[in-house]
Amino acid sequence: MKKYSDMICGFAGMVVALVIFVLSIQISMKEGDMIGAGFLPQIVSVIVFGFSAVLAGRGWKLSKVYTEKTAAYPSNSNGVLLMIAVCFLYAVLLKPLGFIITSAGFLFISLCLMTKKEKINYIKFIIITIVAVLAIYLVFTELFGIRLPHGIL
Amino acid sequence: MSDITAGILSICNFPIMALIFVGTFMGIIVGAIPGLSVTMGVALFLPLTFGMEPIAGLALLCGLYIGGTSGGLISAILLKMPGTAASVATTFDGHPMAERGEAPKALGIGIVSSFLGGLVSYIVLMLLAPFIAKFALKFGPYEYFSIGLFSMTMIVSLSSGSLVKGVLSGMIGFILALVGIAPITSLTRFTFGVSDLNAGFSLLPMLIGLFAVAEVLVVLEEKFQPAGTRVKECKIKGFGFTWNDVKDQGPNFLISTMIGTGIGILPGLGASICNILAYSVAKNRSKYPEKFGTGIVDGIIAPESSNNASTGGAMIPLLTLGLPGDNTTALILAGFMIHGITPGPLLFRTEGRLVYGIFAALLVSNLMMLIVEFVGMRAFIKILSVPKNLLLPIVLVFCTVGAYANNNRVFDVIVMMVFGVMGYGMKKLKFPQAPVILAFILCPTVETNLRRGLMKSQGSFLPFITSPISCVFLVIAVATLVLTIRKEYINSKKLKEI
Repeated sequence: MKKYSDMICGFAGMVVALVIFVLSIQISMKEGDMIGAGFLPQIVSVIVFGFSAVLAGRGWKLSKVYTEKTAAYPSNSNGVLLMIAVCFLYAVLLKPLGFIITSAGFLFISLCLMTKKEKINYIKFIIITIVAVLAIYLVFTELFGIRLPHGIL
Repeated sequence: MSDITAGILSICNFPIMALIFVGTFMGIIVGAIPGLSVTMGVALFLPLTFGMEPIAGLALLCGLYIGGTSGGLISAILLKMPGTAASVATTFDGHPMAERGEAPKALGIGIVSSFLGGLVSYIVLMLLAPFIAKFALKFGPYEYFSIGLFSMTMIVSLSSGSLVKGVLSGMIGFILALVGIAPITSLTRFTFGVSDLNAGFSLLPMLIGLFAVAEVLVVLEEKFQPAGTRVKECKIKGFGFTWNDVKDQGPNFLISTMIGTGIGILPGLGASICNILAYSVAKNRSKYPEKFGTGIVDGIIAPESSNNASTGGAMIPLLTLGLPGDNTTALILAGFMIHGITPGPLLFRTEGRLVYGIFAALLVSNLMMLIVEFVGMRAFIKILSVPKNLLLPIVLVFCTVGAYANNNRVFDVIVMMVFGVMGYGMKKLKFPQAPVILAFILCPTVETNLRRGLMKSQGSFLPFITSPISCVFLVIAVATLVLTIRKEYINSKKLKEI
């Protein structure tokens, strides 16, 4: 996959450029406006298309001479994917469940995800979670006067 | 008693000094936390100034403005997460230096550069404000468009290694800035029926996502690697650096400060742009551009002196013309209005004492910023001894609060997460992130002024070239573009030969 990454990015850029171009020519012009709201998006789409084509071409050339390097340490890709899912879940549940509950859940899970298995200490993480979330909540609501979602609490 | 003496004396009492201290201190905290912006800090403290004397309230806001603009350097250097958009470029060399175990040096240079940059710009403000404001009034759509275009060419120098990827990153920023209501005609573009997108993307969630969330994901991916040199006992002597470290930096400092002051004067640009611009100029001028990004002094002095210099620059149109350059100065303008004071050409004549009081408050705030950050340096560095696996999740919660509080909507938190994934992807695919921010901020200036200019000239592009100021910037833009591309071409040829 890495071998073709530039080529894939190039093709993706070309598709995005085409979509922007098509959408921007549909933007109507108001009377008295010389170039319209679609002019700049059209210019941008042409530039994106051109540079993406160059990137795709260069990526194709590079893929022929590409040699896979073996990494010295295993990559934690699964952890990253899990973290992304947890982040989005946190954002989505923030309003219905409230700041304290979702932040506590998010902080605890991300502490576990970020720490090597042999170093995970659940009691320590629970204490950090409770103290940090309450401190952040109190500082922002009481000191800064920011209203954070209450949710079900 | 002259206005100058009366102005200085008006702040020389304990309550106002205490307010300036509180403002600067809180500004530094707000600036240092990724997700909280200077604007937010000023907005939060603005209601407190209602019951105060005008000079007291405005002194507090000045402290917040200066502290907040400088405070961003702390998280930029120590966490690789710019606290504000004004310190994006500080991460490029500040963090590598901290990773090498030279965090005190990076912080010290950043703090002193911020102080000196601010100091020079306030002197310029005091001596030349009315003249500069008159000159700035000559800037119309043609000139603003050319300055925007010139600033855009800096994308090229920010994309060393791969010009194509750098330009494409810039175009991503441009595309993102096109989302929402178009300038002039107010037609909505690229919103796909999502009403939250009508106002476009906010800079803050985008910035936190691209830099902070992406950094957390990168650290998580490298979880199984052994810890680097990050946790290092740092002994701090003075400001952490010696005269030898900075003795050749005079021209870099002066040019960056001038860029900061100049850009600060122009509405819509400000500290968010000038730090990246000054960094790019320093890199282009340098005899060793290849060392930029590895943790060199030049790369910290340029952004830090320029971003604080922009605060003095931004006060020039505010005080002399009543024109706020950005959201923060717009709130400071509100602070004036609350007390029944209308900034403008007559302010120096009718409220001379207040004006010189503000000048004095700016200078004192700048000095307090230096003292607070100097004393705090020892405490800030302690953050390096906190393991990343414990620190970063807490920083993410801070970021979430910042993104949410920006507009009080969950949509911005989702946007932050989306940009976090995007930033992570960009890092993996070796696309630079700074051009996205640069183009995103500049796009409205370029588009609005291009369209305004064409309406003014009845569709002719000629005035963009015939206007002397505009022409100068266009020529510089073309020259920068040609020279940087040539440099890039020669470098890539050399690399191929090796």
